[in-house]
Amino acid sequence: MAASSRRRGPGKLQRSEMIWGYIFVAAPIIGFLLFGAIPLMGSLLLGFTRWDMTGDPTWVGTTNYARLLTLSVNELQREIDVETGEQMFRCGRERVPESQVAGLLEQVDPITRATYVCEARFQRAGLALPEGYQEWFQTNLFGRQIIVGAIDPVFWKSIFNSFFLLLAIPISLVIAIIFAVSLNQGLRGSRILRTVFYTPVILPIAALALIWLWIFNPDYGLLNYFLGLLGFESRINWLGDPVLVKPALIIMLIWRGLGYQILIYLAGLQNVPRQQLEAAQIDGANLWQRFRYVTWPALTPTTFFLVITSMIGTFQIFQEPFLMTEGGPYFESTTPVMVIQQNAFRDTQMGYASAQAWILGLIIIAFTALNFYFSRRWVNYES
Amino acid sequence: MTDVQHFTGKQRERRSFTLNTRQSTLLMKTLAAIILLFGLVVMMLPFLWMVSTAFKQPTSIFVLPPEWIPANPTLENFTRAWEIAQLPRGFLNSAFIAIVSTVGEVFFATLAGFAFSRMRFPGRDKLFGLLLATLTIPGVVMLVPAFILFSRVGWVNTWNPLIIPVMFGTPFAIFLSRQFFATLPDDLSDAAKVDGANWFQTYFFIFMPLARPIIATLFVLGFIARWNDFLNPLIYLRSVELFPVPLLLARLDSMYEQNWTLLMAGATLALLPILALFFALQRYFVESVALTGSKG
Amino acid sequence: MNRFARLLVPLALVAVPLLSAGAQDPVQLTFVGWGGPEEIEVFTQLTNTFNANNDDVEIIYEHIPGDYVAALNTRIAAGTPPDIAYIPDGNFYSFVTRDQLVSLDALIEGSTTITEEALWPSALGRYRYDAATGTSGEGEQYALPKDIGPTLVFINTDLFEAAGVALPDPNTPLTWDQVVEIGTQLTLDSQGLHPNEDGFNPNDIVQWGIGDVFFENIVYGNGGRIVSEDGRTFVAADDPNTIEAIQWVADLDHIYNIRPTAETATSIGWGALFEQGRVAMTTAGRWATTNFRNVLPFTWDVIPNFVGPSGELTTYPGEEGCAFSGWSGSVGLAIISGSAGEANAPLAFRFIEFLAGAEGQTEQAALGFQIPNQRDLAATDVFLQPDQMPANAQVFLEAARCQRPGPWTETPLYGQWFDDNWWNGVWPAVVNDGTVLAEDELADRADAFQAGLDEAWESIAMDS
Repeated sequence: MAASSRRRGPGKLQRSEMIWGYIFVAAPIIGFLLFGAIPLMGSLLLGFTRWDMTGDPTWVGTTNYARLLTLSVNELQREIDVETGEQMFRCGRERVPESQVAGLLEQVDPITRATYVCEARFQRAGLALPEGYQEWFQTNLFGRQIIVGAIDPVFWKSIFNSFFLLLAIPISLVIAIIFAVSLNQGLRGSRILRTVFYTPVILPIAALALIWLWIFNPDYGLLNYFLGLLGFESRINWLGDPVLVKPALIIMLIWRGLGYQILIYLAGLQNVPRQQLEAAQIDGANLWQRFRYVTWPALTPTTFFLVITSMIGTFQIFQEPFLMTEGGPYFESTTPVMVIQQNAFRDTQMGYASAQAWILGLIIIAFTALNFYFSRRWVNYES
Repeated sequence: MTDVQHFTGKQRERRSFTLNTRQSTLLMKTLAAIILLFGLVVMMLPFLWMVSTAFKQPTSIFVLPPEWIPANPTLENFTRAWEIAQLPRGFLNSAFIAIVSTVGEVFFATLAGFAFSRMRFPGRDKLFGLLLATLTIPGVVMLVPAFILFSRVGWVNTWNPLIIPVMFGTPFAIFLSRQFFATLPDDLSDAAKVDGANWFQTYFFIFMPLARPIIATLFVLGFIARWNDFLNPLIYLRSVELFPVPLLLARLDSMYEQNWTLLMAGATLALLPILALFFALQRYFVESVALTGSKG
Repeated sequence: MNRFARLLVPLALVAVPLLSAGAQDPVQLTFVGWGGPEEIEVFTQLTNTFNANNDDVEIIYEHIPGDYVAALNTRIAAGTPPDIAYIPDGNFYSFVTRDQLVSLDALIEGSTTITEEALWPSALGRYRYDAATGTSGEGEQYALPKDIGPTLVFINTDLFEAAGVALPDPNTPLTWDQVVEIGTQLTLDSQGLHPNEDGFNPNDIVQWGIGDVFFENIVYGNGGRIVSEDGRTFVAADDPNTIEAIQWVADLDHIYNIRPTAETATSIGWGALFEQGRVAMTTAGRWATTNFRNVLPFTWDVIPNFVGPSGELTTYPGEEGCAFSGWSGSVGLAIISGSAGEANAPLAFRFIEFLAGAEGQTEQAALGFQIPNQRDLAATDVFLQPDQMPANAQVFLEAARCQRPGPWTETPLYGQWFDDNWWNGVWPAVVNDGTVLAEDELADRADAFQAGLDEAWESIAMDS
């Protein structure tokens, strides 16, 4: 980092730099000790207790963490009809033995109004999993149906969901850079545009949720309406479909966060050395080359900041999906903080919720550290 | 730096084939205008619908094609929202909380961000990492320990828990200013040192003026974060006289029925002053920024 | 101060002086609740009336917007609980098992204004708890009902008339077959065709016969159960009446095409669908009445909940001769343990008595949200309000008598063990998507339900 000039400083100057350095960072450090450290230590300690928010917490050691982290991998057997010994199938919503499958395949499923789709059934998850475990997910490996169970599968699902939502970050950063650079051209009306782009950030979250509930509405929503105008006659159920709900949330998150990212990029753009831009232009560099070799290097520290803070923000997202989907369907939009919040305040299991929060915190710290490690390769400090 | 030199040298021969500067600038502006126009539409539509819904009767929300201009506009949603939420007092409360906390935050955070990026002292990066780590633990589980702490100090039902911890400088703001200061040229501080200025003078007279874009950005971000905060005021405040806007708006949500039109009217009302503020302020933080930028 | 708080104090001592509030005269007691603007107004008024008539106590009313239970739990956790609080019946279990509520038995016995006999048994019963057995519904009384809110089927009578369908008899519940028949006549696609007509397009329905059904009401109307009477066993998977009921709800969407699909419903909202005249019948609680009176542009009424083909009903234990069933909601008024309200229990109770007594109930009933907790008062015009819709308000009275508290009052941590498996498991598969039969899905998940329920009971045992 900013190290090159420091070599010159002899002992005395270094001492003064050290003292001034501590003075400069004193306020946040004191603030952390007063207001941050105590709640942080409190939640760390609580993670090793059972506490229903009344009376005394009971020390339970690592029980909470064990409950959160243990998994069980098992194989599911095929389901066999008890009387005939036939393999059972599910056709549409009917459960039938193999001998009836051929007949059904020619009929129309009243639910989907298309021909029946049949698949072999496996035994109930509860029969394959040890007691106390619930299904997290199933997968087919080499023809074997493998089921992975967890004591708290919802938490695992929510963590996985967060990883998926992280996809929003690179997409929105690219869009934000494009908009920020465009806004920085000094076009007439840029001021109003900046305000417009920033509006979603200011919007109260309840209003935001309602607006997006409307946009994603399968019958009257804006998105399907536009798709219809473009010729895709569709009733896509964005928020009710287990596969589409996360992409839908990503769209919403990008819309919401764009103004904030543009704002920070605009500040970052002021550090782009104009002389170099002009020199490059005179030298005949095209748009992309000027961006790639002059603008982008100057924006990398800003980008790094946005990557880190967006990542932390995405891992901790809670209100938007809660208001829009309540975590459904099938927990596909449940986020870790939603789980933590419900455990803490709805079910008053504060100890367990604290353990969950620390696991999530450790995941975030690990990702942050990785980012800092790799930042050396692509982040250019100083010009 | 090296990238640029390398590249400009290589390109020199092909110069005659490329657009001249004027054409290139024109092209860029046109491209920018097209992109921005597209962005304007995408960003505006949902917002437009919110405002139009605020003028609608509850029965004309869900129609196809979407009704952008209400057929039978009504002001009743606004008058009801205004009455119920008692917004004027809320605006004052919110503004006080947000301004006082954010001014302190920005001052101390930029100072610390400067130290974390441009000064050397033992434990610097560890201290920074510690501050950053506080961002990673979800706030919900710290809520109760923090509440216990603040209720012991007698800060419940005051604005102190909302203002004072923020004033010391949040990790978020420190991080952003650290990233900013790190990009400023090195010779700035060297020049100051030759002049015999101490570190505070160096910071105050040389770096802070250059940091205006980031200070303005931090102020806006901090202000809005405080303005929109719901959970902390909910936990700490009890008297309705102290409530900021989001708590007052929550009254519109009557628990029994989702009242779209009323909520949209309330949200529109709550949005207006802050939008005006942003619009007014951005002159300082983006346009004056352009001047500072060219100096650096 | 609990031990956890004490643990933090040494850490906090760096900067923290301890403050304590001195006792004042008159005794100040805090009363917390939630609610919309109308409710805030009524309770502010009631509090003022009470304070004007009582010199020795002053009630301070605090309205909590947003997440009420989280805010209340946080205050309790910090050792600074409010004195008197709304306790929703669904959270009663969680508060009472954590010893957070003061027993009211002695106070009720000494009361001159409140007698248990005057109140709806189903309203009172849900705030009883037997600490020895851990069961609710019996034992000591820990809260008095602020209200009782039955759930019924609301009908858009204009739509019935437009379709030429005779209005259902307010005294005789519709059977499932009748619902399907009427619902078919009231469902239209954009060409004006009914589901039983050729060319009907199920993807283009503009009006549906039936909207929201509270599935518990369908289950109870068919004599089914979700958990056993003692709350220890998940019985839905083994109870043919329950399975039949869930399947019927799924078939309303997918076979009969007379109910909106989940995606339509969740994004617009059941209430909005009814408001816009797009569904002819929908289930809602009494609390929807105030809003309906304000916004519905058509004539509407209430009818009893439907009854299933089994001929059995699951009603409030001890109530005889019920024609229909369902669940009713309620909010309780309780004194919080460890507060000044516990130390001054008679004063705190005097306020609860006032709210739960005739004067308080009359004021609250005018809001329309709820039915007075007192049976005699409920049968008068104070509640029936004959000049306002619904015309057949007396159906609510039968509902208040016969309906059970929701299943969430019968077990601990219902929101965890049941809701998770149900709303993110059984329901979307069986009802929303219609891809599995209720019988199969319930059988597949029965173990998970029971495991969660066992764990919930275990956690109660460990906490106490």
